Amino acid sequence: MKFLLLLLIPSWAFSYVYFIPPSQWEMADPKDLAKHVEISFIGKPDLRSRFCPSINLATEKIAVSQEKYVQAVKKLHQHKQKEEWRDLGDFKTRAGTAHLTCIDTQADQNELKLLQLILVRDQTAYILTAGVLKRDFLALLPAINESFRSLTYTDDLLSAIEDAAHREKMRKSCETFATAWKKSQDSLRSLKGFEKQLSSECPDLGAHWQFLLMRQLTKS
Amino acid sequence: MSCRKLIILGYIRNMKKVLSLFLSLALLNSPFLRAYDFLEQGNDESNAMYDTCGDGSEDGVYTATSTSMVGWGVGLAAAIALLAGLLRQSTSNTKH
Repeated sequence: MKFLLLLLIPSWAFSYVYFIPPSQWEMADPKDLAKHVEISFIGKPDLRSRFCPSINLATEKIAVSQEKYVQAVKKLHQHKQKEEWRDLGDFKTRAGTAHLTCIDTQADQNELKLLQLILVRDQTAYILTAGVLKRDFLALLPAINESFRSLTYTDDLLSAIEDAAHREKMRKSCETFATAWKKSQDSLRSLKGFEKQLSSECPDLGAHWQFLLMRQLTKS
Repeated sequence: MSCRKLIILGYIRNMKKVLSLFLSLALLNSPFLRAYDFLEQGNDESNAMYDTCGDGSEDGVYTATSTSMVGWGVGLAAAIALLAGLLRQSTSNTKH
């Protein structure tokens, strides 16, 4: 009962930041992620180099402004010999105006281009980093651009569903899943079932949004 | 009054002047010194905050290059399975 009430009450204490990864990119193994990285998605590997393009979201608690944070990042990367850091200016996202930067680097004889989007809100820096091979940059740029623009900040994940009737339907499905999750012995089955339902009913919102919703529902 | 007494009185009057000058200078300077120390401390703290920024950016760059090299995609179901495994572990721990 407490959990159902929690679903009905807007969660002011929780805020969510998510983005829509490029289509058909898979979630990376959480064990491979660095400390501040929350989630990462990787695309199909390049045939010659076996390098996979990727996009990840990192967060960092800070007490400085967006401008100061970007200056600190510039200071960090400019000292590195194998990296060339460039400031590309402001970039508009759904979550607000972020700052876009570019890093040219090398890894295992591959020339890489990393685009890094920095948004600071509520004393937290949200850093979206996309890494691609330099030769594939132009081909993947539209998909990365869309993912960057989709960066969203919200208190209620279900508010992303625009249609009111569909949103209400999904809210009821969440309640049903939450009840089943509590009761069911075989939790993995209910997870997979709900995952399929989310993928079919809300495909446009992407795997990150689905993951956050499922984590929110199963956390309590 | 003898000469000696006059000299002593004069000396005392001068010392009083010197002491009062010293005290007034000390009173005037101390708030400024304290304010200056406070500002210095504030600058040090803000520099410290500024100096520790950027870990998220570095981790993002590291993950973008390292996971791309490894090239493993687990899929949402597997990530959720990991999550389920973690959650089952945490609930069993709380029961004990």
